[in-house]
Amino acid sequence: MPKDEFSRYIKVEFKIPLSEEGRTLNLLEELGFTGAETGLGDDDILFMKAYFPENLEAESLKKELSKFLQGLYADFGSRYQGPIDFSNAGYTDWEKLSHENYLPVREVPKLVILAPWDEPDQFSEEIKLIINPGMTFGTGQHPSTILALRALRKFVRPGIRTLDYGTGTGILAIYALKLGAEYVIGYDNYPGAIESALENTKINHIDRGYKFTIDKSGFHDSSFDIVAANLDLKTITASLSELIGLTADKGKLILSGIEQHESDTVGELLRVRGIDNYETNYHNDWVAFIIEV
Amino acid sequence: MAKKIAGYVKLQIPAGNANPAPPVGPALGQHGVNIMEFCKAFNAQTQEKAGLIIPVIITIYMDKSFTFITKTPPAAVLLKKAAKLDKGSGEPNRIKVGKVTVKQVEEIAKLKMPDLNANDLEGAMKQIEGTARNMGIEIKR
Repeated sequence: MPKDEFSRYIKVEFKIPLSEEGRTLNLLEELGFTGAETGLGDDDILFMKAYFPENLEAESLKKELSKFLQGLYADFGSRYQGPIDFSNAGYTDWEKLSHENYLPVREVPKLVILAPWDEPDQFSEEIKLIINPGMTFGTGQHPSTILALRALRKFVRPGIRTLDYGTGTGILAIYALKLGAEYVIGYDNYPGAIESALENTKINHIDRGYKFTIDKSGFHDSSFDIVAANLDLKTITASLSELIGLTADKGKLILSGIEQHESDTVGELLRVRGIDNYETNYHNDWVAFIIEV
Repeated sequence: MAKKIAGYVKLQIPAGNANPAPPVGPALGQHGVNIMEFCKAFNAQTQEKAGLIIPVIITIYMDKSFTFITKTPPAAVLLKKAAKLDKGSGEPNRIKVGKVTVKQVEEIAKLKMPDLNANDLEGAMKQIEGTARNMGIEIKR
C-alpha cells in the first residue's frame, strides 16, 4: 500500500457482547473500517480495536458508532458498557518493525542466521544461512533449532549423507549442505514446508545435493550417516524406532525439540531400546540428544 | 517440530487484501510475526472471497513462525451482499431496506454452517433469517 494513502489511522477501542460481533462488524464495515483486532474476555465480553483511515469524517464516525453502541448497551446491560476510546495512530512502518524481531542469530560458531532483508555482505561469519521466517517451523530463532545446528556443525563432514526429518524451513538441511554434506534429504509431512524449504535453498544459492519430500516410502534402513530430527516429544516417541532404523551403523541420530523436563522420558525411551551411548546438550530450557547408533 | 504456541491473534480483515497497515501491522508486529509473509499467504488463500470481511485466527509459535485459519464472513455482511445493499436498516422493525430469497438464505446458511452453532441446515437457516430481520431485510417466500 502506498505510504501516503492511509498513512494515519483513527483507532477505536470498545467492548461488546460476543453474540453481537456480526452486527458490529457489519456496521464497522459500513463505516469504512480497514479491519479490527478482537480479544475475548470473561463473560463473553469481546474487546474490539477497530481502525479507520484518518481521511474519514471523524465526527460523524464517532456519532454513528456511539449511537450503535449505546443501543447495544441499552439492550444487553451495563456490564458490557465501557468507554469508547478514540485515538489517532500515526504512521508506523510495521513491516520494518516486524523485521526487528528477527535479529541475526549468532549461537553457533562461525555461523550467522540471517533473514532475506539482511545484507549478507555486512556479516563476516564463514557460513551465512538465509532463512525467510514464515509459516513453517525453523526460523533459527528457537533454542531447539540452535541445538540441532550445533550438533550438525560437530558431525557433518564432506561426503556425508544426511536426513532432516521434519525439515520445516529446511534450515538444518541447508546448513548440512553448507558444511559439505554429499546429499541431504529433507522430509516433512506438511507440503507447505517443502515449498518453504525449496525457497530457502534457492535464496542460499544451493543448487545440488538435496531433495525435499513429503514421501518417505523410498527411505531405506541404515542409509543416512546423520539423521537430524528437530521435532517434539510426541512425534519423537512415535517415530523413534523408525529414526533409529534409518541411521547408519556408527551414524548419529540428533533428537531435538525436547524440553528439559521431558529429558527423563526420552532417556527411558532410549533405555528400553538398549541404547545408552548418547550425549545431551542444553540451551536455555531445551535439550538435544545426540545418539550413536 | 517443536511447535510451542506463544499466542493467538484474532483479526477481522478484508479477504484478499491484507497489508501491513493496522490492524495487521500492530497486532502481528507486537508478536514478532513476519507481517509480509502473513499478508502473502492470507491473500493467496482468500482471494476468491476478495472484499468480504473475514475472521482469521493466527497462531504464533515460539520461534515466531505462525499458522492461521480463516472463518466465514459474518452473516450480516453476506446478507447485505445478497440483497445488494450498502447498509442495513437503522430501524429494522419499521423500515425494510431489501429482500433476499429463501434460496439465498439457504446458500448463506450452508456457507456459514461450519461456524454456526446449529444442528442442521434448517437451524442454520433460522439463525440467518433472524439476522436478516434484525437488519431490515425481508425474506421473499
